[in-house]
Amino acid sequence: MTQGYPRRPRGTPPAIPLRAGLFWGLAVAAAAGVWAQTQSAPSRQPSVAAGERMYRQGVLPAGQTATAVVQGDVQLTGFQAACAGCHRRSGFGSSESNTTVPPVVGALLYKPVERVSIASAHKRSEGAGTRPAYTDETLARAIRHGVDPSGRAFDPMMPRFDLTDDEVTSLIAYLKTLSPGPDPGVTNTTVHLATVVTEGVDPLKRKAMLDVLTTFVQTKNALTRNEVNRRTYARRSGMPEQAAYRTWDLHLWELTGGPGSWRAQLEAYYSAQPVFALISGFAAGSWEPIHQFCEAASVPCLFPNADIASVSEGDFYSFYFSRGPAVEAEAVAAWLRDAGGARGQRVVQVFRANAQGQCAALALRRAFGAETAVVLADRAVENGAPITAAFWRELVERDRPDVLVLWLGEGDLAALRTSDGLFSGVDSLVLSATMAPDGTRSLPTRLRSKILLTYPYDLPEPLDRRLNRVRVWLKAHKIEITDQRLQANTLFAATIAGDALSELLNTFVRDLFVETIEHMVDSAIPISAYPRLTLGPGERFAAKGCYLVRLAAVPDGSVTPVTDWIVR
Amino acid sequence: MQSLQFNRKNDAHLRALVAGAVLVMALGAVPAVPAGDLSIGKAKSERHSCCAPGADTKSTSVEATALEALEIPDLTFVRMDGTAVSLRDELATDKPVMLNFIFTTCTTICPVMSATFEQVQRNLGPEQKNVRMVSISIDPDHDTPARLREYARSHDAGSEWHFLTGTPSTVEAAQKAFGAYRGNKFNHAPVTFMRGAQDTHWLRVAGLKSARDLEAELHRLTAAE
Repeated sequence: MTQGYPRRPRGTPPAIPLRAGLFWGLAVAAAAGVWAQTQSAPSRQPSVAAGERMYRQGVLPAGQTATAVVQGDVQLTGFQAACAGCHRRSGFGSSESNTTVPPVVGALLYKPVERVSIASAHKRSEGAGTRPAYTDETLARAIRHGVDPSGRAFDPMMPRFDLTDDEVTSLIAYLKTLSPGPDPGVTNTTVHLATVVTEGVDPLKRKAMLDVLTTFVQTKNALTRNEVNRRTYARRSGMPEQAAYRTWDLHLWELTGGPGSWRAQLEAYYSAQPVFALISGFAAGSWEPIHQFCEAASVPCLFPNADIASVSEGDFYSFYFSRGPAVEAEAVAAWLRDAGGARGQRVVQVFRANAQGQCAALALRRAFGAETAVVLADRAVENGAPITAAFWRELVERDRPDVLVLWLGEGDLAALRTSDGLFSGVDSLVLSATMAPDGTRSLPTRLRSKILLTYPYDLPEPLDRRLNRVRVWLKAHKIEITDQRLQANTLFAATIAGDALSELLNTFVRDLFVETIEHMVDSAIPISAYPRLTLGPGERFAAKGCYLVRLAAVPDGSVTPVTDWIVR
Repeated sequence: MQSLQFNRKNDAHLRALVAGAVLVMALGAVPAVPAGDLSIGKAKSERHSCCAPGADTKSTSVEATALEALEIPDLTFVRMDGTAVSLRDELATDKPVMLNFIFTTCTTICPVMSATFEQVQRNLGPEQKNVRMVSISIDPDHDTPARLREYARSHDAGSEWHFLTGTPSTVEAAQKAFGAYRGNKFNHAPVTFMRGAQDTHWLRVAGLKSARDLEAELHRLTAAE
């Protein structure tokens, strides 16, 4: 369940929190299991690396695919047989409706599961829902023959695995190392988080975002006194929800200079104070260096305000709202196909050799693939070369486009104002609302009627209605509303971070944090700039679509959709 | 004294509930959704866990419930090859049909359900082309035709195993038509719907089943014709 909004501060001022005597070590907890060199052939030495490959991919140490049987008679092979498929990468399992997949982290397997009744303080060690602690032998037996340490059979939905002694030993060695926790960035009292802002970000946008984040964190921490007291008592009486309370310490990681230098700066910040996760953030230019840092350091990154985002196979830690120009281009391709008039049409796309332009142009080309029904021509403009009326005249004469797709910023559209007569033979001009948010304001009426925008946000009117609660929160905290979309997206990122952290209770494991967010976004209170956000296991883009919209005749900011939310 | 068979959805019946009205209740054996499926708000101790069998041990008999007349709504879906298809046309085949609701990133229930469909196809061998299987995605924003093709490939799906995607509203409507809508996709429950070749009546098979169980049910449906 999501908590929704952060609570308003209580009337009493917070007391100075009691300080714990010692900080926990910040080094990653050493594995309790056996670490061994990877062998090229199966041998007596268990290999944690081989165990990890079995667990995550269903591949055996010698390279073959694993096999198993589920539901009594259903064969599973390879990836289907990978433990991580159900027990998840964190090893903490999963649940859907009333089906539960329990945790398989070594720390829990080697402890008994007992039933505790809070009302009577009675612990029950036998009967349904309990089991004795595993040993290496009983765990091997469980994996191959599907029985628990007391000999009871597992439900048929747990596969029975066909593994040799060496293979199961390596798998067990891996399970002993799985998610020991707590991950770096968490102490007895505090969870450390950071937000990244790079040089070159518009100062107004920077302030808009930071106001929301710092206020959110201050509000969350304002309940310190009562929560800290409860935590002290909880640790004695063992009430996990209350023992989990941590104060948030939000660090601002400012990056200076060009993107080539960001990685080293991020590593320096992290070295000085490791953080459990990054929340929101803003980069001028590509977010990619920060994405790479997060994958390398295994740091979750929640919904930065990134212009372009891409996730490679195997990436795990970063969540984004939208893919940006790529999804806009794919929406254009879908519209061109569905509009029916695409057959035989000449489509020309104009773009600069910058990250956004190239991303969009490449995506549009890919979206058409080998299709020959649409004739697509690329017109790349060198960085620094001005786009003049002569440029447009030349283009129209040479290419005779039916549809012009302009992946250009506002500055590059200026010459359109004086060239509007040139486009009488052009059916549509497609512009990007993300690359040229205000670019259409001063365009002549004759052109306005031909213009379509790629619009990867919720439409203005439903957005305004839905974000009323965001405006209420901003006003209540005396934050000026200078960029509603940005501030709403930032509040969404902070809120989901808080809700997911609460769900972790005392299990401060980053992989579990990521898996929790995957499950929570669908039912999160919808306070982002997008019409809908959905995620699932392994999904990393929550806003999966884009509109194409027509401009209103007068520049009043209103738009009319000509498509549904095109999902790609 | 008027007596009527009380129907809570009937406004007239509700209005008849005045002070002093007598309600007579009796337990009857009517086809209903099996209690095991009413899992919203179920107590934690009744949670079905793969490692705590006890009272949750699955019986080998299949809990198949005949559904009353099911109205297939007039909805347009998209096949994994990208072509649009009406759900009614998709199900208007003279072959027996096995249908379920899945999503490709599901980690608990669908991997088992899809592997079971795959095993059934494998067991049927060349006969598989005589059975229509339909898997409808309940995560249409993520499960594009391209993703469904990849999922189908990973499950070695034969040509008669169709995968459909749509929009959130069409997918919700399809689930509701089958009484399988549970809100959030993560709240979905394992269930397979089956229909004989000439039948108009559907069978609801609740829970995760073995391939043998599903084949037995299929056999029963086709033998009955």
